[in-house]
Amino acid sequence: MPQTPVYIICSPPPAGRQDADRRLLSEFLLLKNGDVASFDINLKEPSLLEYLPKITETADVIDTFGKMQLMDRVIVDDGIAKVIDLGFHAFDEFFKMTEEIGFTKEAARRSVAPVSCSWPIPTGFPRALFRCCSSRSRRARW
Amino acid sequence: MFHILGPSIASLDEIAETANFMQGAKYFLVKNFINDTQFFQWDQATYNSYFHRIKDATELTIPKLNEMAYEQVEVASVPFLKFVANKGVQDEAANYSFVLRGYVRHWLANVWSEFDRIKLTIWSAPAKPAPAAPAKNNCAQRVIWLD
Repeated sequence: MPQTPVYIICSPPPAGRQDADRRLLSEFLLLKNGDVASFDINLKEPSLLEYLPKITETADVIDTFGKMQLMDRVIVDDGIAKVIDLGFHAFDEFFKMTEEIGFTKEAARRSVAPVSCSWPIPTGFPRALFRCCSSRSRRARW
Repeated sequence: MFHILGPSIASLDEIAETANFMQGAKYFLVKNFINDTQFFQWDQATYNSYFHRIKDATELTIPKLNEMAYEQVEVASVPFLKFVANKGVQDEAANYSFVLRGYVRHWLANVWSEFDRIKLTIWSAPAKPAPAAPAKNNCAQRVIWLD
């Protein structure tokens, strides 16, 4: 049964090669599937939004409302791949939130597959999410 | 006795007043975090003067629940467990936010682990002893995925 992938791209400071990677990934998914939803959480320097405005929207994890706007869409198994461009400013809050709300367990239940695209692993990256992502990353070929 | 405290000097002053009547009783000081106040933990002198006043008092911490999650549970008018399970008043399927349900689940697990820590069920147990449950079968671990 196909799963809905959620690519979490962790951008270290300053955004260098990752900048090209996330654009490539979004464009590849758009070309391959015909649809992709990208979320730009680079608060200080939105970049994906500048290059792919039609499929990208800004998101934030500063307050609860912003988290709801983002995660309530990301967790839906609608067959549309999601790309989260996570700026390093938002690492702590995002990973803390995913751990607290049980994102990995719920994703597994709903056939949503989180895939992390990050090197090195950022500080505070939840172990559960890392295990979940790394097992799926091995299967992902992009 | 469970003494629910607020983060104010007036509330903490009640500890001293209550202490006179607490001989021979089990006394719980419940720190009820309704916002980001710290019960004066940043001022150790003040903190110690209140919380170390009564010997053998047990502290119980009720952590803060995310404000929006709390309000959503209020609007839904359902118990916390039904909210976590995404169910309405009549057990019908509801459509609460996944994020808010996650926050409530996390908070509920923390609260119940506090209840387990102070062995609440022992203090409130009926006169007739019930068969002992396995050690790992505690409340906190039962806050799981219900929907």
